Amino acid sequence: MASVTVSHVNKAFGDFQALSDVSIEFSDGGFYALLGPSGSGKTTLLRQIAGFSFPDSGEILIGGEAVESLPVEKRNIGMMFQNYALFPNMSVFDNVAFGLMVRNTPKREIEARVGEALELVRLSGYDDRKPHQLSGGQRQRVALARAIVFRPRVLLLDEPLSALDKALRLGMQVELKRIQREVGITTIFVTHDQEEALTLSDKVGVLKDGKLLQEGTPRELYERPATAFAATFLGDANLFDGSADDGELALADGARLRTLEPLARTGPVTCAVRPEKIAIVAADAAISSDSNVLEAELEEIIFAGNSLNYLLRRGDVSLRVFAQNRAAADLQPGQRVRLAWRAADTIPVEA
Amino acid sequence: MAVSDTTTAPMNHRRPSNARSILALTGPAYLWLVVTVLLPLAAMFYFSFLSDVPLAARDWHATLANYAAFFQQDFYRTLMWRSLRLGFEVALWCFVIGFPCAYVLAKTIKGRWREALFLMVIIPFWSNALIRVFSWTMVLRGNGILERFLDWLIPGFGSLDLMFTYAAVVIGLVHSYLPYMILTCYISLSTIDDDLIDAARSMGASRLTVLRRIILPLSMPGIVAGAVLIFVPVIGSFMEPRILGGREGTFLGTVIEDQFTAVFNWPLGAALSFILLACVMIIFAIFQPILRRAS
Repeated sequence: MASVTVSHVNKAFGDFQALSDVSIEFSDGGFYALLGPSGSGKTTLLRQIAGFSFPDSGEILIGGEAVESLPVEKRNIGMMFQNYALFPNMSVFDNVAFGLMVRNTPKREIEARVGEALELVRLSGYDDRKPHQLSGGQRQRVALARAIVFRPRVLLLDEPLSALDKALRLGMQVELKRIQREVGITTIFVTHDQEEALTLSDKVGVLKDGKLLQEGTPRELYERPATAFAATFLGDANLFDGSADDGELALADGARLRTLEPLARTGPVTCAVRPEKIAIVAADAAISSDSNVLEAELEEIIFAGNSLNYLLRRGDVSLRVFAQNRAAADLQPGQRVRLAWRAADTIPVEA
Repeated sequence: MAVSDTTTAPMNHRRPSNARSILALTGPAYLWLVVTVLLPLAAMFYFSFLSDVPLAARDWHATLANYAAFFQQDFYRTLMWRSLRLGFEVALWCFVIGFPCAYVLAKTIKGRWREALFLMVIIPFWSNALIRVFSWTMVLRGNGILERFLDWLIPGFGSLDLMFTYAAVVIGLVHSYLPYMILTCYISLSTIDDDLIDAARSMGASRLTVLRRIILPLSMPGIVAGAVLIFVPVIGSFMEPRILGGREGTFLGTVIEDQFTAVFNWPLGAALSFILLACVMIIFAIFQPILRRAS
């Protein structure tokens, strides 16, 4: 096991700057998600860490050792591919044994360790199957066993769950987390799925256009997004554009919102509010003194089973509010409603 | 109409016409095959048991002597071994030269360059086989293009006359049949997912291990198909051996050709052809398990 340090890494493909000055510290034994839309550079970064391609400049350290010029086969990393990339000509046993075989491990030890690895992913007894005889979830487990059986220093996962249907995905999330904890291996995974990033990892880095925008625990990122992009990409967010005036956010139509902390700067400011933090309140309801209140017109109600999704409009700004099913009031589209939320849930973000 | 369609009577009506249309569509192809392949082959098989060409002026009777000749005279068996060895060597050289080329085309080069290089692979198919072979005579003969080129490259190289040697036959045949190997290998290589190679490397496999454990086993169907496509025509070939091999170019194929064109002993030529065919079939039967596993 080892920590991974990426410092000031740049990578360009022709004119396209895939990574620009990215620095991240992946701590030993941590479970780290690289989250971003396609083209954000997250897969490029993973491939630099793996050693499939080399950065134009910058350093990559694995366990304190500089590896940026070592090819992948010398880095001792385990990697799981999006489509699993199981060898179709080999049985499950031979697939898992491959990493041990190339390391010239004695035959008896190979048998013992492949057995352990298959037990860890709960596939004991599948040794002789060929990949095409396995379901998607089983292939994924084989790929995982194959990536960790030779005890690599780091485990890299490329969109690990995207090829599975939703029910399997939820099961595998739990499995992946359990296995990662049992093995204790430093794990870095790439995903475009914010829910996956939030539920699986203990630290998330958000990438966009080849730059690391923000990193932190899932909770920090969700509750205190630093940019409008992070706020909207990780979950949903209502964005309010206005200008700072006397520590508060003054909207164009004259309404004023208090923010998490009084605004120190002046000029244009954008604030983000999570849809589930906003409540639709009755006109005569008592509202605590630290709340923001706005009026808006209800345009549509979307029923999503356990929750209700309100689409509202205030001037030319559209807003969303999520409410639990049990708390939902009887409202009709076209109605004007009052919205209220705590000042502490109004987060200033960079536009 | 829609109602009567669901009853059985119209259905019964349609069935014979269905069979008729199947016959009409497949009939010409089968007729063509019967007339052009099976009939001549059957005629040849018949000839092979005769003592002489069955023409009015000749005296002929049924005999096994043509087949017996092959087993009685060492000459034919030596030729058979030579032909099989030639087929094996040409297929091997085609693999040695063609596989790396197919690998680069399938895995390294993308876009326009791939098309251009493919064209260069295909071009031998477009030119007349006889012209191709004769152009080799100018390259391989003493004081020919190859000798002058090597002499220019390495001053004082000396003389090199490959004409009328076994090597010349192999060179000519490899040139003719290389595209088959490149194309069949290219097809099976391009179906190998690049992630498989990346995955093997991520587990610590060297390039050689990746080649041996992943790429070669997965491209085996293409290699085997190419080898079969080359082996079968090469062991019966007569043009390249005759022109490039001269006296050294005596193989079963050239002897069979002689029986038909020079000696006018069709029965012996036919018998030798069927022995060759039987040999190929025996070889494939022996290698059947390997071939099946490969594909």
